[in-house]
Amino acid sequence: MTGEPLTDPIFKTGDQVRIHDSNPPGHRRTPDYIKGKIGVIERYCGAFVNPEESAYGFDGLPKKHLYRVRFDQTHIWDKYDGNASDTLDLEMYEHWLRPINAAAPEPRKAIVQ
Amino acid sequence: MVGVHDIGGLPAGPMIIEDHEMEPWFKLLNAIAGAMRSRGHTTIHEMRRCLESLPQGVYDRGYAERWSEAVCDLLEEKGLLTKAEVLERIAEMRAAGGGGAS
Repeated sequence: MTGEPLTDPIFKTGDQVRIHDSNPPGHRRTPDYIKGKIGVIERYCGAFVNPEESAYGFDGLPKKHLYRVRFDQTHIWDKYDGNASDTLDLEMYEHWLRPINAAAPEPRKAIVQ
Repeated sequence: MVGVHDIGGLPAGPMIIEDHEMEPWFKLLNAIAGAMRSRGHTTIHEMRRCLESLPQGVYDRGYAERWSEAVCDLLEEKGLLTKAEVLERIAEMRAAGGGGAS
């Protein structure tokens, strides 16, 4: 076992994705404000040890595909008052990403004060 | 489960962005945490997990304080040192006059 990913990357640059909206117990690296939101794959970053497993002393293998995902700030924040073209990049593991055509509820809006 | 650290976008006070001196005890703690990683006892992911699973009241004490709690938890989890042993050593150092103001 080499620890390399079991499958090829599902997504490619330019694909739209929705962030899985769930709060499972355990050590999760996905911030709550981005769950359910839609972004675009900016680049594929490579395959890395899964921190959700490594956090408990396991080897985190097989590695997981990591992507940089770009979001519009106005999409994330209900009352975003910055430039309308502002974006936010987050690096997300593939198992938190869903194809945009998958059925899902409307994304929740985060509260900004 | 949303952890105590997961506060992005929530109401909060102003950010304090001035530099501040790192206390000697926190430098030592950093060295201990670094040694635990470089000697293969743990990973940054385990450290983050320990930090992010602290009770709210402990987490809110401050950056250095939450690291000290997390490192002690991890030392105990890894069977390297118990919290009782750490507290005993602190008491010894205080008794020897090396404990500083507190």
